[in-house]
Amino acid sequence: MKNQITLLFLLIILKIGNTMFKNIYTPCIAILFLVTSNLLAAEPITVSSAFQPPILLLGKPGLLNITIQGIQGNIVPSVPNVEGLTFTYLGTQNFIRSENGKISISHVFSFTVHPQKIGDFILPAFDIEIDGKKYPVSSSKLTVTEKAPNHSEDDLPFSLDLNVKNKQIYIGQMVPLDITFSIPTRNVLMHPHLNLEQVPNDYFKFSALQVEKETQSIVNGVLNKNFHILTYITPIKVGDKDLQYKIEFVIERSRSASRKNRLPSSLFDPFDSQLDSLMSSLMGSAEKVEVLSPPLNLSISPLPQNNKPDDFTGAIGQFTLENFSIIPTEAPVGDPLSLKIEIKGSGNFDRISPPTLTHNADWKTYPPKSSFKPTDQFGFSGIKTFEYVIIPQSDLITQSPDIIFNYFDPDLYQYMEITPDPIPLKITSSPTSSSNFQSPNTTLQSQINTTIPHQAGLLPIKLEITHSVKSLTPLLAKKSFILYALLIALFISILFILYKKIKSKRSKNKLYLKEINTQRAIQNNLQKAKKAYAQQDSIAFYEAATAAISEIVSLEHPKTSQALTLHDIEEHLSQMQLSEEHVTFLKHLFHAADMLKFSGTVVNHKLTPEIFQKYESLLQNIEK
Amino acid sequence: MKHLLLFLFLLLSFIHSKASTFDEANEAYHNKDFSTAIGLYKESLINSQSLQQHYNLANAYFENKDFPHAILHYQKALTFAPHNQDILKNLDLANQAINITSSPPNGLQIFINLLSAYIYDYIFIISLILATLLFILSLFLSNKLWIQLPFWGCVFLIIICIALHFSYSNKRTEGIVLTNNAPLRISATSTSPFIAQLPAGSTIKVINKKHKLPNWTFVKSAFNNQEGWLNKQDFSLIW
Repeated sequence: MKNQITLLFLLIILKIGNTMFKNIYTPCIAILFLVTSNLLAAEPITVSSAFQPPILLLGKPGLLNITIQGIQGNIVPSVPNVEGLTFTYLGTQNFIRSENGKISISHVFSFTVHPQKIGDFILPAFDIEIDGKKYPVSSSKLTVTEKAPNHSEDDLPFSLDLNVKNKQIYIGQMVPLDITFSIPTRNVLMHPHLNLEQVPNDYFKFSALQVEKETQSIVNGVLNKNFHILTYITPIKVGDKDLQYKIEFVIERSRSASRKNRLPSSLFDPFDSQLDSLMSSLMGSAEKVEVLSPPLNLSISPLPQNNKPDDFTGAIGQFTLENFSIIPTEAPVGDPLSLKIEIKGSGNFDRISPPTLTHNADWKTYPPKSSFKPTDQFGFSGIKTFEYVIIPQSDLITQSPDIIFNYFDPDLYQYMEITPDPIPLKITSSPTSSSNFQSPNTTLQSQINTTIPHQAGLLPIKLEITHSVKSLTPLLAKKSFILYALLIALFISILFILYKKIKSKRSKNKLYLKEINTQRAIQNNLQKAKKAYAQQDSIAFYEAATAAISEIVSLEHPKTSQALTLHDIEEHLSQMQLSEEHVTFLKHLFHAADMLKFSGTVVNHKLTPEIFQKYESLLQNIEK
Repeated sequence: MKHLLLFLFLLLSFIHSKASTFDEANEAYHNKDFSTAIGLYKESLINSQSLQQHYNLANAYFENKDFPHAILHYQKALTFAPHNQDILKNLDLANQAINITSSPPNGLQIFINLLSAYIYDYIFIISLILATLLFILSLFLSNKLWIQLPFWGCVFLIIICIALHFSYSNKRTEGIVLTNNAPLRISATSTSPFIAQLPAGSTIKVINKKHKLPNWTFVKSAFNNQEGWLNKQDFSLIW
């Protein structure tokens, strides 16, 4: 929507531009086209086909979508004939997506598919022609199965199943548990309301649940969606115990389901599911469902005592030696060495104690540091590292101390041992061993620090603020800002366009022009009269005063101000019922003006304040 | 006059207090008291934001071994100067520290990052004002030739800025995961099975098409391109 609004604004701007500069309109469109086409151009052109859904029930229609990515297709492609399937052209849709600033366009041609028999159908690969070029369309597969028996709405085959590899498990063992949740595809699952949790049970420690994959299957002629969920359980008590999970979710019943059965809508899916949700919430067809898994009986045993090592690490699973090293291999007596053993495998890494170092008084040892690098989400598989600090106490030492990692393999039902080969060492006597002796932790810490490059390379902080803003989000990221800014600019432009139009219209009206010019002449003559009075210039005063009165009268008189005589003015003003005094003064003004004009003299030429007051009073009355 | 002086006094005292908080934070940083420095930098960010504040805060987080927050604030600092080598280098170090790989920018992103977003803001505003003035002038002047070129130049810049809006809108939905192994779930409940666990410091993109919930957001992870529900406590948006 925002794209359309912005484009609309662009077009309005261009339209305004068009009114201004007609000759430049076309190049500007070309620039706009160039900008947009550059944004669209980078995408490679691909054509694909897909059946929606990939499994259909006999008698139910489906969709075949042919998607052209990166170019606009105009001609409806012809679909090759597939025996047992009929295709009917439904329509096309365009999609424009913007991701990471890159705009991609796709054009989807949709066909309804009506299966006529059961079986697997392959739509062969074929070519379509766009703008004279041929593009290959990938093949796609459709499976048509038997029509579903009529199930009642209350008999919905939801299922939740638990599976373990072995029901005989051991205390402390991390056991993978597969949970499969199946739901008919006709029931739209409302994802935000799906809870899966274990029925309270104090015999196990539970891990998080991860969806491994989603599949589809047909059970009793009903197309089901299956969620395969993986989790791990760790038994903490001995005994036989039932394990159960329950799932709660919200589905949409009957109305939307039956509507969806008419035509599976993948093409319009986003809109459809939202509309469905809206309709469901309005019509109250959403329903909360709780499904309980069948109990899974597990037998929890303690670890066997036979052959159990005294220094058992507690590891249960399958493990191998990944690496065994000692740094440095040459050192004087008293210098700390770092011994590292890495164990790789799958099992209960969180419960493994460090393996025991077998040594004599020639070595001084410290408890190891351990770290774990998981290779899965649960910490079931990975590499566990134990790092020991060991200090040689004698120069007779020739090899690393023995280290034994033991674990219990539940598949083999026996205890196993990993014993790495000893590493040859060269320990020399230290002449100043006491003075050179450093805490092993300090030495190792410095060693660790040198292995972390980022600490050294970090660039320093800035000491002064140069430019700050109120909000981090730039104004251009806010569509409201752009819309308001363009609206204001548009509003101002429209105001000026209207102003110009009104002005232009008035300039063509003769009466209006006459009025404007007369008003100007009146103002001009009044100013002259005032100035002449101030300068006691009788000739100029009488001339300007009579001219101003003529101009005022001419506003409502057919004659022009120059053609008006005293008689015309008297006749016009008689309708206004002027006082006798004003009429006398008017006559005096015009007589005096004529005398000055024709003989250059006046009877009473002195301009008294009384004359000026009378003139002002006369003007006010005339103007009224 | 009194009011003007009072206003100036308040403005100066505000600027001084902001600068002093920033200076105090710098001092704490130099004294290797990174937790205090983080608190003070955050305090200085309450009223206004700058490259230096975000960059220094990111450095303090980095030194405090909180790399996801460091990445978040380096990203924020990049808004002011997309090509700042100091920020880019430290961001790279933070990414390396937690094994996050960032994809190199494509051609369009390089063009967008030519100038900072705030410079493009100014270009848009100035171009719009100039285009409007030139248009108004053209209404009243008979000789329009000398107006044509600058007017269409301004319109072109406006179009470029509007095109940038789409990129910035997209950027507005980007966030950084702050919790390590943050579960990306198939539904918006804490008991829902998760699709994947996202590493701290990785980038996510908020997808608004789905339902909006108070504590959950539907996101797409750049780490594994999977979509799911992420708790709002587990990430923070860059803008």
